Amino acid sequence: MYAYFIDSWVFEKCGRKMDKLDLGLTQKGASGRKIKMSRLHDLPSSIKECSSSGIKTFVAVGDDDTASRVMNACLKTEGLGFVFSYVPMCSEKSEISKTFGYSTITECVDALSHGRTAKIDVGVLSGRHYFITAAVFGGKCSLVFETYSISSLLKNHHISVCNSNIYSKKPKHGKWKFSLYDGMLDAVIAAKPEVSFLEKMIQKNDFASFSPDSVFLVDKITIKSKQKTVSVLADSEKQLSSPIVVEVAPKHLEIIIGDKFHAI
Amino acid sequence: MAMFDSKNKDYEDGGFEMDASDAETIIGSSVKVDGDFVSDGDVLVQGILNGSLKTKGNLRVEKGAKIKADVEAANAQVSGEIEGNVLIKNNLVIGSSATISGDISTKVLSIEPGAVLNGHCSVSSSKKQEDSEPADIQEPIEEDEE
Repeated sequence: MYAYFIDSWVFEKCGRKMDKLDLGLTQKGASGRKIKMSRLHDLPSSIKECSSSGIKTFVAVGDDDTASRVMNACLKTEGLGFVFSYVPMCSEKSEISKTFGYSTITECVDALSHGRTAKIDVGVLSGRHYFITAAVFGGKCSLVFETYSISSLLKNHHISVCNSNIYSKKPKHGKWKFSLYDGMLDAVIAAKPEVSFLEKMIQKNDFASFSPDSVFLVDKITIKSKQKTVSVLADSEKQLSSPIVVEVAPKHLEIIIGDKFHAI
Repeated sequence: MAMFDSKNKDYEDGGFEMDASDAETIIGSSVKVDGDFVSDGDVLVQGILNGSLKTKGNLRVEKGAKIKADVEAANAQVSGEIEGNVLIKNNLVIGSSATISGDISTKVLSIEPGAVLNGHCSVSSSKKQEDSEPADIQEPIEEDEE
């Protein structure tokens, strides 16, 4: 049994995609309960209700923010044995769907009907917020370990703690070994190469334009900032107070995987 | 042949090559590390490190890297600057662009022409020491006096 948590904006903006998804799921026998999710939706009680009626697979439909909300609510519900999946409505922007190994509606429907699963690591920010891909921190932050600290000498850089590869579009062939299974996270300091004004205007402001400079394999790390509140992009945007402890929860999340899934 | 294209190699004659893409930890050129750095895996240093550096794996210090620390590793390949004592368990390869100011202790040492060394150097191979131990003194056999 499946429960689809559909973000409210999807009904307004992605009508055609929703019809295609509905049709595909019905044809492949993967349809289930649909729950419209508004910004103030009481997710925990909806999840408990679904769970009590025997639903074990929770699917977020929307963007990475939607996926993050549903996944966090599921993981924070005590005693909930569940499988998580995600149907991205803006697949080209979705880092999570790349990690799961599917991006188009057809690929998602296939993955849901096949039901292949894998248990992956997730990151935890200050013991409260779970993330799948990476937590990206703005400038003026430093990485603090037990006996040493690391700071960047460049101005145009960012610090990230990665579970999966957000920098390369071909995770398996990159120089960096981001693994979803190893029970570790990769703390990365990435710098943005100097570009001309024109290039700056054209270039998308995504993580791919940053090139990783330093990488440290960690299971727990503290991020310190000179500012009291730090803006963190960890699947969805969060405001957290410094210092922020980032740690790994090994094989904590069971997900439905697609054919393009690269766990490394 | 690209020197570092292959996987880590430990040659019998004492040479050592560490593949950069095998490094578990990479201290990039735009990064400064302060404190006692400890690692279990292979470490590649391109930036600045102040304090101490200990790894159970291999170490590669690239040209342009500046280390002000005592260094400990299983094997090392140095092409940058080190200001501190260097203790390497097995093989130490010092490249032509390397500058080391401190005492060196290793089992096998190879130095390329052009490298700068300021400090004492101790190279001791335990295997060779075993081999070179003097044989047990045998007492002369006493002949029976007839």
